[in-house]
Amino acid sequence: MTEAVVDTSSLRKLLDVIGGDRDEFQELLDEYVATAPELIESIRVGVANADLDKTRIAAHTLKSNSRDFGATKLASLSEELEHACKAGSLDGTGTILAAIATEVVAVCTRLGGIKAEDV
Amino acid sequence: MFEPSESNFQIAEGARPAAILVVDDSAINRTKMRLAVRNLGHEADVAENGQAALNALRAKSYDAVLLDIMMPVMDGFDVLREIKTDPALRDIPVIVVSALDDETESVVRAIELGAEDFLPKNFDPVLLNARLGASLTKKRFRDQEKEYFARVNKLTEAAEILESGAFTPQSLALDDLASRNDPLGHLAAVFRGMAAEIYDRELRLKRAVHMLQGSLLVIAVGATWGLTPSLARMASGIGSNPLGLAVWVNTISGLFCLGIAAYRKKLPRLKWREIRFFLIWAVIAGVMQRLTTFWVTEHVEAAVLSLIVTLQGFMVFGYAAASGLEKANPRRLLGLFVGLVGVAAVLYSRFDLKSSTDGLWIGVSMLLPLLFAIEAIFLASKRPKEIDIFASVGIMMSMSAFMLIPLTLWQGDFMPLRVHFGKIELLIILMGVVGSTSLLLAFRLITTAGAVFASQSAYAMTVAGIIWGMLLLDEQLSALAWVAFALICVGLYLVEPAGGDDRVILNRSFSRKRSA
Repeated sequence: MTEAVVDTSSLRKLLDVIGGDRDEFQELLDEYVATAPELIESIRVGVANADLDKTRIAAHTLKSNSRDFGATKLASLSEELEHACKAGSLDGTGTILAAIATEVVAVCTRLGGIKAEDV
Repeated sequence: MFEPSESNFQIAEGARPAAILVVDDSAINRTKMRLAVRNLGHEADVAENGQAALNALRAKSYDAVLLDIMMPVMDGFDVLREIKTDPALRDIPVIVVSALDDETESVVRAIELGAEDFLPKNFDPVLLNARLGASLTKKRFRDQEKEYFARVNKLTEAAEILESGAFTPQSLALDDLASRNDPLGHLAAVFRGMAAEIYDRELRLKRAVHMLQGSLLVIAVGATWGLTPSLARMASGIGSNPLGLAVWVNTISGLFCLGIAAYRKKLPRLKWREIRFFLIWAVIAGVMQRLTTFWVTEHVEAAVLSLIVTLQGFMVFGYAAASGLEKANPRRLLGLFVGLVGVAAVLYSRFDLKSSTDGLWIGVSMLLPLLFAIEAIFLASKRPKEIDIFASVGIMMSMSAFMLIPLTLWQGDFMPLRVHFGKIELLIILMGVVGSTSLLLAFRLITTAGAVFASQSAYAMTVAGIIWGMLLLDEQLSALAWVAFALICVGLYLVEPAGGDDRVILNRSFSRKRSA
């Protein structure tokens, strides 16, 4: 049983939270798709330099953004990385990093295909 | 298609839209929060880091802050700490926004630091509305409470001003408070009314006391001053000359006053400015007045001269009107006229004012009241306030004695005093003491009641001169002298002493025992 990349009920909830304006929602959607690769880049640089704070903040942001857009798996992967940073060690985060990179592509592809009108 | 359910929240009735500051480093979160807040009917501004948030809070008044905790550089805890230590910001409620699942510790810490509430990152709009609403209600209540306490404070301050002593109705500053239509406003209005009544009563009393003190001083100055002509006439009867007499009288006066100042340990160290003041005063009062008197008495009838001297009041009044040194109104001018009528009446009854005095000399003798007026104005406006009154008069008298010595020697009028103590020596000492006493009183009068009021002592002096003449030289007293005296009193009442601020000082305490 494969988990859905994006839980669309979360998108409906988000639309509800911002008051139902679909233009604004579309902008948020575009913003997510545009920011996610930047966050991945921040995480990569952070891990490469063993910069725990930088990695942690980027992972934290990716986590909360992904939750808002229903990217549950990506959110939990990000949370795992955030926890590792909090625990003070980046050892063995290579697999998580790779999984995050793969999942981000899937999420962005999925979200990129969604139009605000369809939510 | 999803139709957003009842997402347009209405602001609770009676509540105005609030200004909310959203602080988050993530652009997506900022936008989400801003839109969510706006959707609840409030205004939202955003700040992308802690420093920007503090800048915004100090630039504009906000009703609540939605604060993200995890931010680079300056995190939510730092912002919270800054807000809670700044008296101007500390009452703004802060709601921390947190992914509750793994940040319970952070939320607890934030609440310990003074956060009002917390909100999970993936909040429901209903929850946001409830939490924001609760915080805003508390904030409004707190604002009202603060405003109320500020008003109570203001009323307490007014009570303290009243009790601490000196006050005017304006210094209580209660008008704003008393205009409010609530119990505190009514209390302020009642307090203000009672304070105003106390003020009016005390001010009337203060003015009456001031008036009485001034009038007694005028009469005292006139009485001592008026003694001089009689003493001078007694002295000239036993072979003294006016200039030689003046040197000794001024010397005695100077020594007498400086002696008192020395006894009171009030001898000053003079600065150049003060020396200049005393030199000018000595020239005006000790030399010019004296010489002008000698000069014109040879040509002008004594009674006419007495009348002319009283014109100084009008001269001082004219100067006061022109310069704004003192209040100059028709009532005060009328008072001066009433006094003049009194003096003129008594002089007219005793002397033939139409006697053969040269008109030119009348004009010259106007110099005398002018010199008195200049002296009064000079003392009222230029006197060094910190120098003791005895020392002041003593210094001036001594200086004028020195100034008169060369002239006296040149005129051959110098009178060597005898070693044996005789009638003339006694008279000189008496004149010295009388002269300095009248000057001391006049000085005090000018400084407390102003130059215009003080100038009326010329009237008192003329009438007193006549009364002393009767007592010491067996001259006959006209009944009109008493009428004149009454008229002068009416004049004093009309002129009113100047000065005296309109502050009232209460010498009683209502709440605490006065220290013994």
